[in-house]
Amino acid sequence: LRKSGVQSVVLATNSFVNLANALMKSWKTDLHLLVVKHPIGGIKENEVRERADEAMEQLKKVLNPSATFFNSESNNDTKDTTHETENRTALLELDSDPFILNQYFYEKGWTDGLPIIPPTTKRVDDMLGSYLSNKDKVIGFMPTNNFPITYLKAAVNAVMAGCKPEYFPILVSAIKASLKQEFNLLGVLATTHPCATAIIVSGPIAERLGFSCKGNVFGPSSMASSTLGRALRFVYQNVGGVLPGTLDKATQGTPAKFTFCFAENEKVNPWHPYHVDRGFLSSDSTVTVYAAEAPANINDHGSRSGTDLMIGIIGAITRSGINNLYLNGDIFLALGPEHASLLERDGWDKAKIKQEIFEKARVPAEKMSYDQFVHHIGFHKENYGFSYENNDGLPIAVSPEHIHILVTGGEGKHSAWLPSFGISFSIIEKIEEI
Amino acid sequence: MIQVITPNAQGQQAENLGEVSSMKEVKHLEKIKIAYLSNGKPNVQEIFTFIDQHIFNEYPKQVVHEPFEVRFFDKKNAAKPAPPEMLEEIKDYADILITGSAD
Repeated sequence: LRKSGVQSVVLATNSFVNLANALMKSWKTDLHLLVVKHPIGGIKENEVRERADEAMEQLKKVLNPSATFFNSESNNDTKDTTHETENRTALLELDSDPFILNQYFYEKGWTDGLPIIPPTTKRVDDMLGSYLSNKDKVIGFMPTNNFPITYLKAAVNAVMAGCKPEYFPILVSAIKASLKQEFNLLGVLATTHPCATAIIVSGPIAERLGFSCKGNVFGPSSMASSTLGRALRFVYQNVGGVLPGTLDKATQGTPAKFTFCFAENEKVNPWHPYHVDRGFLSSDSTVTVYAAEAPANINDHGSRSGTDLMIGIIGAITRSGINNLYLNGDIFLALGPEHASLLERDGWDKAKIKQEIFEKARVPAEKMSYDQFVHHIGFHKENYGFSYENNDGLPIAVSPEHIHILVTGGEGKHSAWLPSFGISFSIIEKIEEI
Repeated sequence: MIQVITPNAQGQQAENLGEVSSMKEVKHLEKIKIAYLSNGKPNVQEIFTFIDQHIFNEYPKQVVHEPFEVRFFDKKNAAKPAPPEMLEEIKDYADILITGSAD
């Protein structure tokens, strides 16, 4: 709009002004900002009026006929934390003491606070492997600042995260997948919602490289999972400038942002592997990215039949406070092997499970306030006639196809489900090993 | 000492999205059409309504008087861009757009 001559003014609260500034700088535009006290949502009418008064005082300067419509002076004193763009050397000479080096990287905003492996030229070259001759080739552009993710920068971050070179093709595929438009990476990274980019590795490569798929699958159970998930986050942070407080506006965040990567336990999966459900051969290796909340446990030790177990699963899923109720998107159900086995024994296949969840996992209006209910149904393209008075239930997905089922984990009577950011769809990509 | 490669975008150039055309200077406000684009968050419509009342009171002769509803666009979703057809509609209508980025 700015380019086509519509003069644009952005109203931001003081808590979001960093994000607005960072995006405007990245997008090379200089919209006029009106900054008001945070928040705007959830406050009473008189407070909304106060915010409007505050905005109007600033707007008068913009609308003053004698003033240039858009001036270049900054209307806030917030620190600019976007990355510099000038072409400077990408090599640094640092003290080799690991504590000093780690502290330097941390203070630069390049780590998550945990120790990193120094990205020396030798280590980065080893990480690049057969990609070395194409190291300056661009994998894609970060939507947060339009900076290119080159194979070189991806490899540097992979080294820092502790990846082995054999994991690198998976990282490349995960980057490509998360840059697909349907994934909505800008929204996923900038949202106040506590989502992380979960990486799900499927096919022969998962077992060969030892990705987590057995006991403690979502915990610290393998180097491959721990380091690969961390590497992807580093790419977003370091190439995309995604730092907490500026471009990452998560209210509380999630431990899953440190790293979130796992695989299916295909050996005990009574059904087809997940990637086969999505049209790949079982011999293919794939990576799926998904904007997930941390896993929410489903404990069911008591059920003796698949039908009874489904009651517990649906009961656990049917809760208020999740983005899926109004922003739709996908959800993932990660069945523990014992739960999956019970369901399969009693004739439940994935299609039947999805249909049952879709039909019965409806969160009744009484589980939320009237205002929250109205807020939620306002987002539905068709509001389906949902009524608060009738205690109508809101679906957790718009169709059974948006419910995804995996089998993962070890012994025990636990499963998990992973609510999502909502305005994001999982993307699966074949891993190309060169 | 140890030599390391920086992990950030140093040394890279941002993707060129094209130059932004220079803004026209509003010397004389007259028949200005103001539109609003909501990010769908609670109270956004309310604050825009109050701001619109302020503008009307302050500049009754300069702004075009049309019902607020005609000039209010709601993309319903803070985390996704407005659909292209909505942007076209705004482009065709408005001289000034007021939008928001916040909760």
